[in-house]
Amino acid sequence: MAKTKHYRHRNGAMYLMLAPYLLLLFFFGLLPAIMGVLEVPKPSMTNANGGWDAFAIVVQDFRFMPAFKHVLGFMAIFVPLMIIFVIGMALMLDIKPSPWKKWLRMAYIVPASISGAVAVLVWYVILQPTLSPIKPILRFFGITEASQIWQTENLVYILVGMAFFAIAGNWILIQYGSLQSISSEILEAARVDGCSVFQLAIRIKLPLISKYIIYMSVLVFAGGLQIFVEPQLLNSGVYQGIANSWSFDQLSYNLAFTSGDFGGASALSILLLIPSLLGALLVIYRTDMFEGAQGHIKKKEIEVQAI
Amino acid sequence: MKRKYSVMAVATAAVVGGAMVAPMAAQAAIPSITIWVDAPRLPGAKLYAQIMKGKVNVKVELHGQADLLAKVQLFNRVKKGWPDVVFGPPNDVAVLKNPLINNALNLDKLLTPAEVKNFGNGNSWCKSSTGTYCVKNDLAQTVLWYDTKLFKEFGYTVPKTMEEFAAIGADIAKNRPGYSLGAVGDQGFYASFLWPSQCPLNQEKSATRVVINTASPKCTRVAKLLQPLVNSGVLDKRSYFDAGYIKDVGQAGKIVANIGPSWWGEFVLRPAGTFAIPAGRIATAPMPIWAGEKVNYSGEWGGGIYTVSPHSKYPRQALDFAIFMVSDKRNLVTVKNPDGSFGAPTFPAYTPGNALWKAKVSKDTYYASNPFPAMLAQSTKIFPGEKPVRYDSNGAWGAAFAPEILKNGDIQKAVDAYGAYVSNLAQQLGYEVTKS
Amino acid sequence: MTIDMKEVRRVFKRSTNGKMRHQHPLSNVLVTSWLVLFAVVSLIPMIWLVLAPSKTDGELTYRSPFAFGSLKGYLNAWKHLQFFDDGVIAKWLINSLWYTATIVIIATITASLAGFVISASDIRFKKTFLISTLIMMLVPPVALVIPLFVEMDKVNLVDNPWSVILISSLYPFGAFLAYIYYTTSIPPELYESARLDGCNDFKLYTKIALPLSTPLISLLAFFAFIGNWANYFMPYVMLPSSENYTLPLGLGFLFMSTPAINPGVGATSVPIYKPEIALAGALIAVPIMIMFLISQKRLIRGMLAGSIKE
Repeated sequence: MAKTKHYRHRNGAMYLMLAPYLLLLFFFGLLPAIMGVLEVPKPSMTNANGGWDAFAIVVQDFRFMPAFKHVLGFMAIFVPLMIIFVIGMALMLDIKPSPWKKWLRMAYIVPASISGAVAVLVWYVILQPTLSPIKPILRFFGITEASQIWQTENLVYILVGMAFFAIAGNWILIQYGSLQSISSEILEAARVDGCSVFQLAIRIKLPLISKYIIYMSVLVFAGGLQIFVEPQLLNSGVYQGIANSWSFDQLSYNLAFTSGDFGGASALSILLLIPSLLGALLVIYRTDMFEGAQGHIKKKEIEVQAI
Repeated sequence: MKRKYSVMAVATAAVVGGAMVAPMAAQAAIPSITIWVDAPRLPGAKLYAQIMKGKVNVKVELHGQADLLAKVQLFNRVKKGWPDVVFGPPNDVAVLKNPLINNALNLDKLLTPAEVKNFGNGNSWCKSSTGTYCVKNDLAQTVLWYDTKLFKEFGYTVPKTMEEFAAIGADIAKNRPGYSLGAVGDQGFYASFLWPSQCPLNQEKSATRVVINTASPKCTRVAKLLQPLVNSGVLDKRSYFDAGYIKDVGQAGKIVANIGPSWWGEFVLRPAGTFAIPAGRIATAPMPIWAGEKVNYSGEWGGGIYTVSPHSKYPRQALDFAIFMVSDKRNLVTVKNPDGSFGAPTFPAYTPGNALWKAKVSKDTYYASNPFPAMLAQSTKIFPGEKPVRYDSNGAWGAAFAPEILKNGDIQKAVDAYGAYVSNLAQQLGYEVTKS
Repeated sequence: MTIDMKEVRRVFKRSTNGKMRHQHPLSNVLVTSWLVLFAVVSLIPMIWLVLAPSKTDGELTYRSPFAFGSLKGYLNAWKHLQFFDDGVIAKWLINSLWYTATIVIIATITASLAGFVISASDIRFKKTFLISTLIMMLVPPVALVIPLFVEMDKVNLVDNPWSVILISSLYPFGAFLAYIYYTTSIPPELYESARLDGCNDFKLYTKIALPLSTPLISLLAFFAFIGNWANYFMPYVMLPSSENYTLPLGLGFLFMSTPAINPGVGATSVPIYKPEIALAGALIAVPIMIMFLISQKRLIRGMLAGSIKE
């Protein structure tokens, strides 16, 4: 009895320490999310009678299919590129770690500090043959006019480039970190047994960090699906309107703020959340995310999201 | 206790019956209004706040033109926060007056007969069958801008008809390769050619019907006349603001003439960052006329508006600000701008204000001859068929027209692409789209 | 994750016949040059951005992209930026600084407390807590904007910096990160023995968990900083008055209302062109870069702390 009392007392203090975060989580996370769902069936300009038809109306919007194609094309390039490139870079860095290579890792994360509006400015300049710091490369590809680049069918590549440089460096850093966590005993054993660098990478290192790779894939997937800031700002740049409602999140934004259709915007957001959520749940339940033993792995994974 | 009660009653009355209490409050206390303007209008607005000190409390806020609709929708959700008077892009009025948004007051009862007269048909953009929902700040009517030096050198005379304009283009293609009559890859093409030709693209007939018909002869004649010029590169497929066009054509001094809005000289031809045409070369002429027409219509590229919120407690004071901006010498001529220039940057839509602005621009030695008369002549000839619409008709030039013209260089196809795109937008927002 | 050493050896014996293989020197050179090449590519945009404000708008077109204009160029660009609405840019800079600092403090404290409690206590609904935290990381911000605005209005915080500060202080990444950190780096026995020594729960945090988690705290602060310093969306919605803007919001605003990148806006009387915009951009990007660089080492150490422990 005394013991129970003791525990109750203890948890009181624990709840108190948890309270600030819980309050924030409730008021600025869960509550608005619920309010967002309740927004869907309200009558609006496009859903005059209200009701859950909002989902159907959004899917039938003439901008939905183009956005779907854009995002699909974007993901088809972006997700594999990210995973292969990042893992490849991390493995290469891990071949022969030496002190001077930390400068390389630092260089890789520099582009990540150029985000949002600054990124659009920088990319505009890079792809403008009259201003570009990579003029010779553009020339090499026969590009002398910005108009050769700024065409709707090229947008997907431009946006892949923007999104790639915005996060690749951080991921390289994190995956490199995950490789560092592999026990040196394992690597030594493999080496002694005559394992080549390539075999070491494919057969030992990759399986050992597979969880990080799966987790990264889910986050890259969710991030790609929600691409918003880059096309939105491009759209208000020189070639105005070029990326109008290009992505799902932009369409959602336009529904809410230019058509006043908050219900439709919410409905679209919910549709978008589903695949990301499935991915996240997969990670939780198919890998041992919640098991303490592998905790240090999760930590690295989480950092990435903040970036 | 009794006192406390009465205070509460007054407070409640002020909240509940805001509109009724307002006139009384206006006598007793100083009215206060909130103004939203963009950066070029900021010096004038701040000056106004200073002038009105003691009479009206004026709070000036800077805002991006594209933000207004998003912000108003948020304010509508919480039923407060609306600014009293807002400067915005011309198309906003259609969205703002929509009953679902309800943020443009019908000004018919507020405008005095003298004010109505002074706006003349400069304000026809703001009028619809149900009332006047905004007042124009400036007009952006198109005129013909030409380089007198090149005209003299090449022996051209100012074109009076579109056929003559095209003939100059043909001559340039043949004898003066590299020279240009402008670019077509942006909204300028609409303002310069399609709109003056009366091509029905955004002709709102009622709140529920809009006419969009790119197959109309008024549209196809534009493509027919100008396609050879696009083919020969005399009309460039890029945007005027494409860095390549600016460098290769604009700054190289190779624009012989182009049709552009009234702000073109001050903000595109003259600045070092854009075309940087030296002083003493540029002049304006009235719009060339399309064959078979009686009027040489203009289109419009820009031309801001003021809207007053129906939620404003002091609508007349809010409107007073707009009138100040278009009529008062202190804003139009003398206020100092951050770049060292003085006065309002664009052609005022209000007759007395216009006279003041005329004096300023006519003295400007940058131009080879006074650019004002042609602007004035065209200011009453903006073709009134094109109307403000609830969808983003301007953004659609970049979204649908520009990519198509850049890719294939086919004017009619690009116009059709625009038509299809805005038809979709219109239907999505509850318009019926008809061909006539 | 356990790997059977014998199994590893067996696999490799089979595939390599026990021969020791060394990496070919040429491929080593190739790998290294590739790594260096990508580093150079990564640096180009930042170098351009930092050099751009030293030149005039005209020089940007005519001179080499990596040429240095003059120190005066920076001063001029800064001066021109200040013409914009009577020097409001300085206000934006100050706003950005204090909003971000406040968010970093609140977010770091609440997240680390939450992570500690979830890992060290036996309270109920742990899994619910973790899953809802995870969901919050995935919800698109656009979906929450309107409800958040309505909420903020109810408490009269619209156009008040505290709206952005409070909303941004919800730090699910941080809470998750902290939870993982504490579960992996502090063995439960440590808490138990401290309890036996008479430590109460608050002391458990301040005397045991906190001192053992300095890498975590710097990680939390780091990610909170970079996430919020460049944040555009929330301030855009919550703070209509330009005097409350942050630097990124102001930059977006300059983008839209001056003809620097967007000459289509036409009429302007504000002397803001590419060098000025680039300077504003550099003011946003360089602090993030500096944060990256100074905390990079700590970052890796923090990430690895758990594994080293074992």
